[in-house]
Amino acid sequence: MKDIKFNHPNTKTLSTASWLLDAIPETIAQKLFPQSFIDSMRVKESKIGWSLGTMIWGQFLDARGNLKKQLSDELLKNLKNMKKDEYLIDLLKPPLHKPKSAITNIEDFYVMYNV
Amino acid sequence: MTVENFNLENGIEKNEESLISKDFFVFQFEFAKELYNKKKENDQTINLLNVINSVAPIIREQVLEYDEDKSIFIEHLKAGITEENLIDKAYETYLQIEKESDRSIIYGPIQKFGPLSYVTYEDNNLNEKPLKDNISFHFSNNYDMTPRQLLNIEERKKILLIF
Repeated sequence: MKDIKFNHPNTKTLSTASWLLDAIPETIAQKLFPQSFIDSMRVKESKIGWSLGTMIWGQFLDARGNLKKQLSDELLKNLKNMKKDEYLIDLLKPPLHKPKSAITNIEDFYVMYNV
Repeated sequence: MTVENFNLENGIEKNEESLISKDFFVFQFEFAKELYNKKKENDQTINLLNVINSVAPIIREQVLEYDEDKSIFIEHLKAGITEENLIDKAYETYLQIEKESDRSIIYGPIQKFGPLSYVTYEDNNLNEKPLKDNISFHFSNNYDMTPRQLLNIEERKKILLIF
Protein backbone atom coordinates (compact mmCIF):
# COMPACT_ATOMS: atom_id res chain seq x y z
CA MET A 1 0.00 0.00 0.00
CA LYS A 2 2.83 2.35 0.85
CA ASP A 3 4.50 1.53 -2.45
CA ILE A 4 1.34 2.34 -4.38
CA LYS A 5 0.72 5.53 -2.45
CA PHE A 6 4.29 6.68 -2.93
CA ASN A 7 4.90 5.62 -6.53
CA HIS A 8 1.39 5.95 -7.97
CA PRO A 9 -0.23 8.81 -6.06
CA ASN A 10 -2.90 9.33 -8.72
CA THR A 11 -4.35 5.88 -8.15
CA LYS A 12 -8.02 6.10 -7.34
CA THR A 13 -9.19 2.51 -7.25
CA LEU A 14 -7.84 -0.90 -6.29
CA SER A 15 -9.20 -4.01 -7.92
CA THR A 16 -8.60 -7.71 -8.28
CA ALA A 17 -10.23 -10.77 -9.77
CA SER A 18 -9.56 -14.27 -8.55
CA TRP A 19 -11.06 -17.58 -7.52
CA LEU A 20 -9.60 -16.79 -4.10
CA LEU A 21 -12.25 -14.16 -3.47
CA ASP A 22 -14.80 -16.96 -3.63
CA ALA A 23 -12.75 -19.06 -1.21
CA ILE A 24 -12.32 -16.48 1.52
CA PRO A 25 -14.96 -16.80 4.28
CA GLU A 26 -16.83 -13.53 4.78
CA THR A 27 -15.74 -13.19 8.39
CA ILE A 28 -12.11 -13.28 7.30
CA ALA A 29 -12.71 -11.00 4.33
CA GLN A 30 -14.14 -8.43 6.71
CA LYS A 31 -10.88 -8.37 8.60
CA LEU A 32 -8.77 -8.07 5.45
CA PHE A 33 -10.69 -5.80 3.11
CA PRO A 34 -12.71 -2.60 3.45
CA GLN A 35 -16.47 -3.22 3.49
CA SER A 36 -16.81 -1.32 0.22
CA PHE A 37 -14.44 -3.80 -1.43
CA ILE A 38 -16.41 -6.77 -0.08
CA ASP A 39 -19.69 -5.24 -1.19
CA SER A 40 -18.34 -4.90 -4.72
CA MET A 41 -17.48 -8.59 -5.10
CA ARG A 42 -19.25 -10.14 -8.05
CA VAL A 43 -18.90 -13.46 -9.82
CA LYS A 44 -17.05 -12.77 -13.03
CA GLU A 45 -19.37 -14.41 -15.52
CA SER A 46 -17.45 -13.58 -18.68
CA LYS A 47 -15.35 -16.20 -20.41
CA ILE A 48 -12.26 -14.06 -20.07
CA GLY A 49 -11.26 -15.75 -16.81
CA TRP A 50 -10.65 -19.02 -18.64
CA SER A 51 -8.19 -17.35 -20.97
CA LEU A 52 -6.12 -15.66 -18.27
CA GLY A 53 -3.29 -17.21 -16.30
CA THR A 54 -4.59 -18.00 -12.84
CA MET A 55 -7.88 -16.18 -12.31
CA ILE A 56 -9.64 -19.55 -12.58
CA TRP A 57 -6.85 -22.01 -13.27
CA GLY A 58 -4.87 -21.10 -10.16
CA GLN A 59 -7.13 -23.24 -7.99
CA PHE A 60 -5.82 -26.36 -9.70
CA LEU A 61 -2.20 -25.75 -8.70
CA ASP A 62 -0.60 -26.14 -5.32
CA ALA A 63 2.13 -23.88 -3.97
CA ARG A 64 4.84 -25.88 -5.69
CA GLY A 65 3.23 -25.85 -9.09
CA ASN A 66 1.85 -29.37 -8.84
CA LEU A 67 -1.54 -30.28 -10.23
CA LYS A 68 -4.32 -30.79 -7.69
CA LYS A 69 -5.57 -34.08 -9.07
CA GLN A 70 -8.83 -34.30 -7.17
CA LEU A 71 -9.96 -30.84 -8.24
CA SER A 72 -8.80 -31.22 -11.82
CA ASP A 73 -10.67 -34.53 -12.09
CA GLU A 74 -13.74 -32.74 -10.74
CA LEU A 75 -13.58 -30.12 -13.46
CA LEU A 76 -13.11 -32.68 -16.23
CA LYS A 77 -16.03 -34.70 -14.84
CA ASN A 78 -18.23 -31.60 -14.81
CA LEU A 79 -17.23 -30.80 -18.37
CA LYS A 80 -18.05 -34.31 -19.56
CA ASN A 81 -21.48 -33.99 -17.92
CA MET A 82 -22.06 -30.44 -19.13
CA LYS A 83 -25.54 -29.87 -20.50
CA LYS A 84 -26.16 -27.88 -23.66
CA ASP A 85 -27.83 -25.01 -21.82
CA GLU A 86 -25.01 -24.67 -19.31
CA TYR A 87 -22.25 -22.07 -19.47
CA LEU A 88 -18.59 -22.72 -18.75
CA ILE A 89 -18.89 -20.87 -15.46
CA ASP A 90 -21.44 -23.49 -14.36
CA LEU A 91 -18.68 -26.08 -14.33
CA LEU A 92 -17.24 -24.41 -11.27
CA LYS A 93 -19.45 -25.98 -8.63
CA PRO A 94 -18.21 -26.62 -5.08
CA PRO A 95 -15.56 -27.65 -4.22
CA LEU A 96 -14.46 -25.60 -7.24
CA HIS A 97 -14.56 -21.82 -7.06
CA LYS A 98 -15.96 -19.29 -9.47
CA PRO A 99 -13.78 -16.22 -10.10
CA LYS A 100 -14.92 -13.03 -8.48
CA SER A 101 -13.88 -9.47 -9.14
CA ALA A 102 -13.86 -6.59 -6.69
CA ILE A 103 -12.99 -2.92 -6.85
CA THR A 104 -13.12 0.01 -4.48
CA ASN A 105 -11.61 3.41 -3.76
CA ILE A 106 -8.02 2.91 -2.72
CA GLU A 107 -8.54 5.45 0.05
CA ASP A 108 -10.66 2.85 1.83
CA PHE A 109 -7.63 0.55 1.95
CA TYR A 110 -5.37 3.38 3.09
CA VAL A 111 -7.77 4.13 5.94
CA MET A 112 -8.12 0.48 6.94
CA TYR A 113 -4.37 -0.09 6.98
CA ASN A 114 -3.50 3.34 8.31
CA VAL A 115 -1.28 4.16 5.33
CA MET B 1 12.91 4.46 3.30
CA THR B 2 12.52 2.50 0.13
CA VAL B 3 10.08 -0.29 -0.39
CA GLU B 4 12.99 -2.59 -0.97
CA ASN B 5 14.23 -1.79 2.51
CA PHE B 6 10.79 -2.38 3.92
CA ASN B 7 10.89 -5.84 2.44
CA LEU B 8 14.32 -6.64 3.75
CA GLU B 9 13.62 -5.31 7.20
CA ASN B 10 10.53 -7.39 7.50
CA GLY B 11 12.16 -10.50 6.17
CA ILE B 12 10.06 -10.75 3.06
CA GLU B 13 12.24 -11.12 0.04
CA LYS B 14 11.40 -11.46 -3.57
CA ASN B 15 10.15 -14.98 -4.11
CA GLU B 16 10.64 -17.12 -7.15
CA GLU B 17 7.44 -18.70 -8.32
CA SER B 18 7.46 -22.46 -8.55
CA LEU B 19 7.63 -24.06 -11.94
CA ILE B 20 4.34 -25.47 -13.05
CA SER B 21 4.26 -29.24 -13.49
CA LYS B 22 3.74 -30.86 -16.85
CA ASP B 23 0.62 -32.53 -15.43
CA PHE B 24 -1.04 -29.13 -15.41
CA PHE B 25 -0.32 -28.70 -19.12
CA VAL B 26 -1.81 -32.12 -19.79
CA PHE B 27 -4.88 -31.26 -17.71
CA GLN B 28 -5.50 -27.94 -19.46
CA PHE B 29 -5.08 -29.61 -22.85
CA GLU B 30 -7.53 -32.37 -21.87
CA PHE B 31 -10.00 -29.70 -20.85
CA ALA B 32 -9.60 -27.90 -24.18
CA LYS B 33 -9.95 -31.12 -26.18
CA GLU B 34 -13.09 -32.19 -24.33
CA LEU B 35 -14.62 -28.74 -24.76
CA TYR B 36 -13.71 -28.79 -28.44
CA ASN B 37 -15.42 -32.17 -28.87
CA LYS B 38 -18.57 -30.77 -27.27
CA LYS B 39 -18.56 -27.56 -29.26
CA LYS B 40 -17.99 -29.12 -32.64
CA GLU B 41 -21.26 -31.02 -32.29
CA ASN B 42 -22.98 -27.67 -32.85
CA ASP B 43 -20.32 -25.73 -34.70
CA GLN B 44 -18.50 -27.47 -37.54
CA THR B 45 -16.31 -24.42 -38.17
CA ILE B 46 -14.59 -24.54 -34.83
CA ASN B 47 -11.14 -26.10 -34.48
CA LEU B 48 -9.05 -27.18 -31.54
CA LEU B 49 -6.79 -24.12 -31.76
CA ASN B 50 -9.80 -21.81 -31.38
CA VAL B 51 -10.57 -23.53 -28.12
CA ILE B 52 -6.97 -23.57 -26.91
CA ASN B 53 -6.82 -19.85 -27.62
CA SER B 54 -9.96 -19.26 -25.54
CA VAL B 55 -9.53 -21.51 -22.52
CA ALA B 56 -6.00 -22.88 -22.29
CA PRO B 57 -3.67 -19.96 -21.58
CA ILE B 58 -0.65 -21.97 -20.48
CA ILE B 59 -0.75 -23.95 -23.73
CA ARG B 60 -1.64 -20.98 -25.90
CA GLU B 61 1.27 -18.90 -24.71
CA GLN B 62 3.77 -21.56 -25.73
CA VAL B 63 2.42 -22.91 -29.01
CA LEU B 64 0.38 -20.24 -30.79
CA GLU B 65 1.82 -17.44 -32.89
CA TYR B 66 1.50 -13.76 -32.07
CA ASP B 67 0.33 -11.27 -34.62
CA GLU B 68 2.74 -8.65 -35.93
CA ASP B 69 2.48 -6.26 -32.99
CA LYS B 70 2.82 -9.18 -30.57
CA SER B 71 -0.47 -8.44 -28.90
CA ILE B 72 -2.85 -11.10 -30.20
CA PHE B 73 -2.36 -14.82 -30.60
CA ILE B 74 -2.87 -15.99 -34.15
CA GLU B 75 -4.63 -19.30 -34.20
CA HIS B 76 -2.01 -21.40 -35.85
CA LEU B 77 0.79 -23.44 -34.37
CA LYS B 78 4.38 -22.33 -34.28
CA ALA B 79 6.78 -24.07 -36.66
CA GLY B 80 7.60 -27.64 -35.67
CA ILE B 81 4.59 -28.04 -33.39
CA THR B 82 1.86 -30.51 -34.22
CA GLU B 83 -1.15 -31.70 -32.26
CA GLU B 84 0.83 -34.87 -31.50
CA ASN B 85 3.84 -33.16 -29.94
CA LEU B 86 1.97 -30.13 -28.65
CA ILE B 87 2.20 -30.90 -24.94
CA ASP B 88 5.89 -31.81 -25.05
CA LYS B 89 6.76 -28.73 -27.10
CA ALA B 90 4.61 -26.47 -24.95
CA TYR B 91 6.31 -27.66 -21.80
CA GLU B 92 9.80 -27.43 -23.30
CA THR B 93 9.07 -23.88 -24.41
CA TYR B 94 7.65 -22.97 -21.02
CA LEU B 95 10.74 -24.25 -19.20
CA GLN B 96 13.00 -22.41 -21.61
CA ILE B 97 11.12 -19.14 -21.22
CA GLU B 98 11.08 -19.45 -17.44
CA LYS B 99 14.82 -20.05 -17.49
CA GLU B 100 15.65 -17.12 -19.72
CA SER B 101 12.96 -14.54 -19.50
CA ASP B 102 12.54 -11.30 -17.75
CA ARG B 103 8.92 -11.70 -16.72
CA SER B 104 8.47 -7.96 -16.51
CA ILE B 105 8.88 -7.79 -20.28
CA ILE B 106 6.11 -10.31 -20.80
CA TYR B 107 3.69 -9.15 -18.16
CA GLY B 108 4.48 -5.48 -17.81
CA PRO B 109 5.72 -3.64 -14.75
CA ILE B 110 4.90 -5.97 -11.89
CA GLN B 111 5.60 -4.97 -8.31
CA LYS B 112 5.79 -8.08 -6.21
CA PHE B 113 5.65 -8.50 -2.44
CA GLY B 114 5.56 -12.06 -1.17
CA PRO B 115 2.49 -13.71 -2.66
CA LEU B 116 0.94 -10.37 -3.64
CA SER B 117 1.74 -8.30 -6.67
CA TYR B 118 0.22 -5.40 -8.49
CA VAL B 119 0.24 -3.93 -11.94
CA THR B 120 -0.66 -0.43 -12.97
CA TYR B 121 -2.83 -1.33 -15.90
CA GLU B 122 -6.19 -2.98 -15.76
CA ASP B 123 -5.62 -6.51 -16.98
CA ASN B 124 -8.63 -7.97 -15.22
CA ASN B 125 -10.85 -6.45 -17.85
CA LEU B 126 -9.15 -7.36 -21.08
CA ASN B 127 -12.46 -7.48 -22.87
CA GLU B 128 -13.72 -4.35 -21.22
CA LYS B 129 -12.75 -0.72 -21.15
CA PRO B 130 -9.49 -0.26 -19.17
CA LEU B 131 -9.96 1.51 -15.89
CA LYS B 132 -8.14 4.79 -15.52
CA ASP B 133 -6.07 5.34 -12.37
CA ASN B 134 -6.68 1.80 -11.22
CA ILE B 135 -4.22 -0.60 -9.61
CA SER B 136 -4.91 -4.29 -10.03
CA PHE B 137 -3.49 -6.63 -7.43
CA HIS B 138 -2.88 -10.32 -7.85
CA PHE B 139 -2.34 -13.39 -5.75
CA SER B 140 0.36 -15.82 -6.72
CA ASN B 141 1.91 -19.02 -5.48
CA ASN B 142 5.38 -19.26 -4.08
CA TYR B 143 7.29 -21.54 -1.83
CA ASP B 144 7.06 -19.46 1.28
CA MET B 145 3.46 -18.46 1.28
CA THR B 146 0.56 -19.57 -0.84
CA PRO B 147 -2.57 -17.58 -1.59
CA ARG B 148 -4.50 -19.83 0.75
CA GLN B 149 -2.17 -18.86 3.53
CA LEU B 150 -3.38 -15.34 2.96
CA LEU B 151 -6.47 -16.53 4.78
CA ASN B 152 -4.27 -16.43 7.84
CA ILE B 153 -5.11 -12.94 9.04
CA GLU B 154 -1.88 -12.19 10.81
CA GLU B 155 0.27 -13.25 7.88
CA ARG B 156 -1.86 -11.23 5.51
CA LYS B 157 -1.80 -8.13 7.64
CA LYS B 158 1.94 -8.41 8.00
CA ILE B 159 2.29 -8.37 4.23
CA LEU B 160 -0.24 -5.64 3.57
CA LEU B 161 1.14 -3.38 6.25
CA ILE B 162 4.68 -3.37 4.97
CA PHE B 163 3.90 -1.91 1.59
